[in-house]
Amino acid sequence: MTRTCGWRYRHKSCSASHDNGTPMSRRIHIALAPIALLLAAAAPAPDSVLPISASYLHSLSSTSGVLPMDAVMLTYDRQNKEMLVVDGPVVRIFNESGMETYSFGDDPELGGIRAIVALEDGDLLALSYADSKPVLLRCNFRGGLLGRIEPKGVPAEFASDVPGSLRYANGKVYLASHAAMRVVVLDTAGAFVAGYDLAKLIGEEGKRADLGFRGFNVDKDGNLLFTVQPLFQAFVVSPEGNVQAFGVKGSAPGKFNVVSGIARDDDGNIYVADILKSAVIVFDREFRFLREFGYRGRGPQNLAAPEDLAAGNGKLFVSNHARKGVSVFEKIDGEEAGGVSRSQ
Amino acid sequence: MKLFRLAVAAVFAFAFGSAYAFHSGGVAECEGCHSMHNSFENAANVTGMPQFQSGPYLLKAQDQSGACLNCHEAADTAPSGYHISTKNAKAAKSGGTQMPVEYTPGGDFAWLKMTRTGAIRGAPVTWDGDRQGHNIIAQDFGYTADKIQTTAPGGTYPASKLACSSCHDPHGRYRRLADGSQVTTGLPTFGSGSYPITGATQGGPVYPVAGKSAAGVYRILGGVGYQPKSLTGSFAFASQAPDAVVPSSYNRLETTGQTHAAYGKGMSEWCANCHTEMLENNYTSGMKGLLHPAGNNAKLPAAIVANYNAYVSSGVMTNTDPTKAYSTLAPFELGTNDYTVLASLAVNTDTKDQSASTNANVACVSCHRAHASAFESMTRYYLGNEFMTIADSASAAIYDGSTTENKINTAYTAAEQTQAYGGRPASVFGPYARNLCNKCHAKD
Repeated sequence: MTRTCGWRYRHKSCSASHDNGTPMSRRIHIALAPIALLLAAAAPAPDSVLPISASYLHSLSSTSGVLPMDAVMLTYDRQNKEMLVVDGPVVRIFNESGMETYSFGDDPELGGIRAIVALEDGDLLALSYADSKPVLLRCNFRGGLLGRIEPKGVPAEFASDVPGSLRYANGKVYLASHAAMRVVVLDTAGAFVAGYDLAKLIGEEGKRADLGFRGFNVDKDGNLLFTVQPLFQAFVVSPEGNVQAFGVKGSAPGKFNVVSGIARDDDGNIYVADILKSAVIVFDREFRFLREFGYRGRGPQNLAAPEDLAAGNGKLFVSNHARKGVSVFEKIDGEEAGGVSRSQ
Repeated sequence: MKLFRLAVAAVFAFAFGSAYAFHSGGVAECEGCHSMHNSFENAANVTGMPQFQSGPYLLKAQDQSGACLNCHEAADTAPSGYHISTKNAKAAKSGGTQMPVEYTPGGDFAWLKMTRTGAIRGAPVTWDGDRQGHNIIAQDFGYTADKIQTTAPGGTYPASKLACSSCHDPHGRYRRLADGSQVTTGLPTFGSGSYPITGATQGGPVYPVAGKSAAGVYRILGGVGYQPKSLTGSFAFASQAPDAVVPSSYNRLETTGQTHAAYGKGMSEWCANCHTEMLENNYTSGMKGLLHPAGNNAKLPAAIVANYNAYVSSGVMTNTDPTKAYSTLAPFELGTNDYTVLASLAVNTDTKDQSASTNANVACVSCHRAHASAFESMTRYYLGNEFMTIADSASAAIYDGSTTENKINTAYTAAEQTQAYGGRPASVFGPYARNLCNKCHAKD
């Protein structure tokens, strides 16, 4: 059986096979005993893993056409199937068809919104900056300010961190400081729930200032996903603090050049953006390389230094540089490549 | 309340100490930036070009600077690591919500995007971010060529070709030998020569060692004969890379200790590779037809030394502590290429004697940043007005926050002004502080 891989686009298919070299999978237990590394055998996904492919659907647009947004931050509201994008001082909301339906912001009352998430009740939480100080704001679904949320009970070691990302999952709010490599978890009232020192968790406390993390996300189970560029690796940290690392440095398909955004879909597949390759690299839930797609080019299905990712309801959203906007792909399961399909 | 702090050691299969150095003072892995054939197992693999056609110079980017900014730009909210460009920066006065946050000695290129408008005595004024730094061209990252100048001031280097690689050799071929000489071949480059080299912290031997090893020159700058391949014509560098050492943690605000980049020698001569007419090693006070001194021989005269070391703030010349004399807003070259000396002074605390002396010299970097700054002509402080700060009703120093009269603040918010000065509160400068030409000249 001939194995094929690649995300299939409207006009192009990729026939390259793949090899992700020597991957590394590591699980760090909370116990203080010396850590044992688990090195997964270097192998692509076995034939029993259902292949996936994707087709380019559209780019996020308004009635004027594709919006030339540049490296914007993405938040996908699974419940309402809406995409929220922070585009400079403005928050744009797009429907399931990728059309902008509403926007708000550029409002002194809201300050400089940096990130936004949607709550189950329809309200929005925004990470905003006023006079260079971060504030957490609660807004109604139209962006009308309801009030300010003051974090309570945050330990001193996290108190001075400057968050750059805001995520939400299962009633918890995640504030991530990329430079400090720390994440604070609050409830929606602002009470401290948990704190993660990611640099310590991955054993790089001494190099915190040199590393930082670039992409950051939280999946529906509360696992933290982040990428560390200088390590050419991506990490998944469970709510209990178990760490799994994956990724190998290199430019061949499946390997990491300069990693940026990261996201996980509803099936557990992990997507990692490579800003240098201008590609999205896909792994299954066992961190086995599945696909790579995108690449630099002028076609609508091509990418331009992808920065942020969001996934949900069978879609993958990719935020590009070079004002290429946000590309939307649809994931297709059980593609018949190699003769393997879901029906079998 | 759960805290996840694991004080455990992890065993890594890979040498992470070298993995994230990437350049390590020399050429990194080729595949990091280049694609040789754009073909992997008989299929196009990375550049999106048809199989067997790669990007310019086989780069995996639209242009040279884009290949650099893939790593060196970030959407940071605070200074971090090796980043020299803040993503999506825009002046508050222009509706922006993100100011440049990186604070390396070279500066944050994002100040180039901080165009804002205001008014001076009622007349509208525009401060163009374009004028605030070296206008590298990086299409994917929103950096464009100089809108006004077509060549380097004082030189002929074409603005249309300005890129990171105009100054930095991305292959890092220039290396410093143990005797201080700079060559492009002869001995292997063991690692970067930009930071204090102690061996222990790098997990390897001290270098350079005569006959055995070399160190990458400061910031992998181009040296004698350097000219990017993409640039045709005669622009090869005549001067070698400068001698300097910077602390390994160099991207930080200076609220608790300054980032002491120990400049040694040769910076002005190196800048003059492109800005040839700006070099001035033979200044005579009062003589017309000369330029402000800048060069290895532009030594600080005794009167300037006395001013510099005593200067605290406008009208306050009371400093007697040599460890508190130096200001990274008005640095100078120490006049030595003794790397033991330079390394000893490359610290992030104000505890070493880096006071001015008559052996020190003025350099281009005394007034300018290398990448960009918040101010026109990429100066370290604003020269366009007599004052940097004002005073509140209690006569305490504050940054001017006026939104209607922008002569002092050039339409920056107080937060932006604080960032422009590396996080320093206005109190560091004092109320109604005159600009820092007075650090040397003390006319205030």
